[in-house]
Amino acid sequence: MVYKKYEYDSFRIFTLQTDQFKNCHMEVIFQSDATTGNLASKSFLSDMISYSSKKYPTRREFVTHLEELYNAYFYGVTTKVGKSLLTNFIFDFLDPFYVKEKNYLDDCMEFLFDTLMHPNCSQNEFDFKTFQVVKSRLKSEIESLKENPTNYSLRRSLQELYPDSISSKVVLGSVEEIEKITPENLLDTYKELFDTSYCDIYIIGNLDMDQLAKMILRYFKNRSIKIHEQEVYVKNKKIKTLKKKEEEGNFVQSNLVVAYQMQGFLKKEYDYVLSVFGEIFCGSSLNSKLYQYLRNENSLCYRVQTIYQKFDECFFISVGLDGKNKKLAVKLIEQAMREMISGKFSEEDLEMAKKQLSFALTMSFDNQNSIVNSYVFHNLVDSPLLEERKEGIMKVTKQDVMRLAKKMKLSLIYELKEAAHEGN
Amino acid sequence: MKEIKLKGLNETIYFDQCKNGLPVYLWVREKGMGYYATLSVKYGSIDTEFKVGNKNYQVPNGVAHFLEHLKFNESDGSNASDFYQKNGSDVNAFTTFNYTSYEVYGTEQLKENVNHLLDFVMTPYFTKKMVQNEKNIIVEENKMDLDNPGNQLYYGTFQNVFKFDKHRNFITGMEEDILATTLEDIELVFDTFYHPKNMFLVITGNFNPYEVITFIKENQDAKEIKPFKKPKTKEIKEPFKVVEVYEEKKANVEIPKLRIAVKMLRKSFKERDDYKLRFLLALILNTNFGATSDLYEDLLNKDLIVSLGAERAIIGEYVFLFLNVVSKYPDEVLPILKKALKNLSITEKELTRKLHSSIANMVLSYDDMTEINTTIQEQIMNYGKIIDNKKDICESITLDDAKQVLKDISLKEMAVVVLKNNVKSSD
Repeated sequence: MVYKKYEYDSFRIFTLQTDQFKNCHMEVIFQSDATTGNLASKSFLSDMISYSSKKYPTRREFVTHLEELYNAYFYGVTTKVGKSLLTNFIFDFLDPFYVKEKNYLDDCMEFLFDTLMHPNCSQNEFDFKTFQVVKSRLKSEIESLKENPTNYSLRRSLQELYPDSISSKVVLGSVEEIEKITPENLLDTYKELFDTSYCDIYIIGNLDMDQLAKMILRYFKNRSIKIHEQEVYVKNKKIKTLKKKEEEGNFVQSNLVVAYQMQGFLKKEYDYVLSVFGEIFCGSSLNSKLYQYLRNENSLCYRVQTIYQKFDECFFISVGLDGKNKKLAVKLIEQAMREMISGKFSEEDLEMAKKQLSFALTMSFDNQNSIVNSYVFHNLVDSPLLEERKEGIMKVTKQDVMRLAKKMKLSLIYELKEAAHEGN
Repeated sequence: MKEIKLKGLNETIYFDQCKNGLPVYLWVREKGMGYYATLSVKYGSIDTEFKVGNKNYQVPNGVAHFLEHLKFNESDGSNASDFYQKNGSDVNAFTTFNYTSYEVYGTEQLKENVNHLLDFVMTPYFTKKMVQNEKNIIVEENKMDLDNPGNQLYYGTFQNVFKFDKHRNFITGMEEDILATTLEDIELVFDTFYHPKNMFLVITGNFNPYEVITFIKENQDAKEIKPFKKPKTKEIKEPFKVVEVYEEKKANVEIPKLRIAVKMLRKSFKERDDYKLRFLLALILNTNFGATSDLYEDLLNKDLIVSLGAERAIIGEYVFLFLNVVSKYPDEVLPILKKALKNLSITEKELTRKLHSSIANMVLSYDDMTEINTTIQEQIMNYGKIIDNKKDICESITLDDAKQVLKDISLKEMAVVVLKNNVKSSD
């Protein structure tokens, strides 16, 4: 794989040339600050841009053209990474080698940048009809977030943990925020995105990247932004006392979330030690501490998983279980954490965890998205690339893991309770 | 070893069979980093009634899935997960209506990992304590499934189109089935169905196929295998008529969801080739209900749908079309979709465009060893063989073929399930 970087006045291009895939995967990423006020509008905008364009103003025409480009795939994703907001446009298309049309690559680039630069709007506002469709869809998506008890309980936990912080805000925004967006002010959001955001373009595939960079330069112009520093890590208030929260749910199963705040972690700990800790504590294998205690030894649950958001300093344990077993589950989770702190895990456990992580990282070389992701975070927060990460993980010691565990502060126990039913 | 050349795709699947009857399928991706091995047993959740010789057996619903959970326990007190974790690889399993599959992902130690896969799946080791311990875990898994509106809609539809067919039942079984499962049920199913002649191994990824088949054969030759009992799963005579034409269910949904199922007799289709029929039905559904259809655009513009998807299936003697809809106005959208089903069409231009898209997808699928492994599993289960001419089939499809299928579609038997909000949440 040949990695190259092309720097221009207002954007950068990162290319990964490889003959490993028949697909070409491209991401155009705009980076801006995440604020309570801009999440909904940026999510809305990303949906609007990827729904249709000036040239293909209806969804039908837009998708039909993508099919004509041998079923190319284009979509927008807005992601909150700590304090930063990534508005990401993803474009997948077939390696031109497999296509008879000589101008295929040119046609793909023209489509992509024409879509980004000429959205479906008139002089002062976005197309009203499209606006209404996207608005309705987004509102439904926000409302549907409540349908998944696991995601809902995690979201509620974040809100309980950091009520006033950007960390607890949903990237889609709220229905009320969506209601405030108009076709006019959405166009302002668009102009702001193009005029003030960093833009990085990533592409992986079997292409002549020098030629591609020139092509992009031809289609992607009229941008003039100054490079400026952007903060990613959110510095949330230190949590000193344990919060407890129970809510009534309408589901068959209770959902328990035990949240720890990651206090004072070093970069090395985020980059390497945290994943080793996570693997021993509650990794992918059935042998992790939590799987052993909750599932294998006490049959309390089928699902127990950990989710960590390092940019927001929080580490969650999420369990689906019968509500009557909550106390025991919490006790076992706390016991497992104490054992991590005191080093009650073997060198063999440590080596197996490292091996497991090394395997997962090697496997990610088979996936274009994972490879690109690794470079995106390398450039965003200086995260190690896949190979470097593997090397760093192999150097993690038992003391490193114990030191990290000591910095985990139990902060919240949240339960979305199962619906009361007969006999319960 | 036989080389199955996939015409027009420049890909080869290697096939061989062990002396004990185990078929092996290998696909090599030289530019990949890892490998994916699946050992599948042709025994799924629907196979709860069967016959061996003259003796009939019945086991509780969910036994295939229960057995899949227990299979990871090994006789030395360890778990298959221990072995794979030590080897820096990953093991898992899944159960479908028709088969159970044990899967291993790895980047190194292919020989050790595949041999262990063959060993732990083919070696019986079950105890009463294991059965007892696993019950509550599976009950919680079932509850998790019950809390998913997608599952409520999916199984709800099957319960309304099938009177007797076992697709009506959750793959995990329900709580009472899980609690009723015994060690004897598990042992019976293992002894009857977990035989090399009733299994198949598929490995995709980066490896030398000749080395791989050599050690697989060595592994299998060393095993003492009892004769295959040749079980016969009870044939369920399923009536054509659907059970319930329309049903509204209360569920934890913020936006109502509906699923329409059209049930048709397989024999009423002139197209005899199942692969081609599935392909043509997918094209027709995509053309009429996909993002390039007038209907989809119109429903979105009128705010009548949030999303609309379509799929097709051949199950036993029947062919099904399914429409999955998320809509704030299910009562309004339902007659529109029924009307659209009556007026299905496709033009030459649409057909050509969809066929080009399908060919591009076929080419791209070979970037993904998991997808190819799954495709091979499905082809073995659905057709009993590898379809080596999919691209040719795709390129040979004409507008007349599509029009014939359109003519054969009958909407006589249809069932609808609608999920509506049970309690408005306070958030």
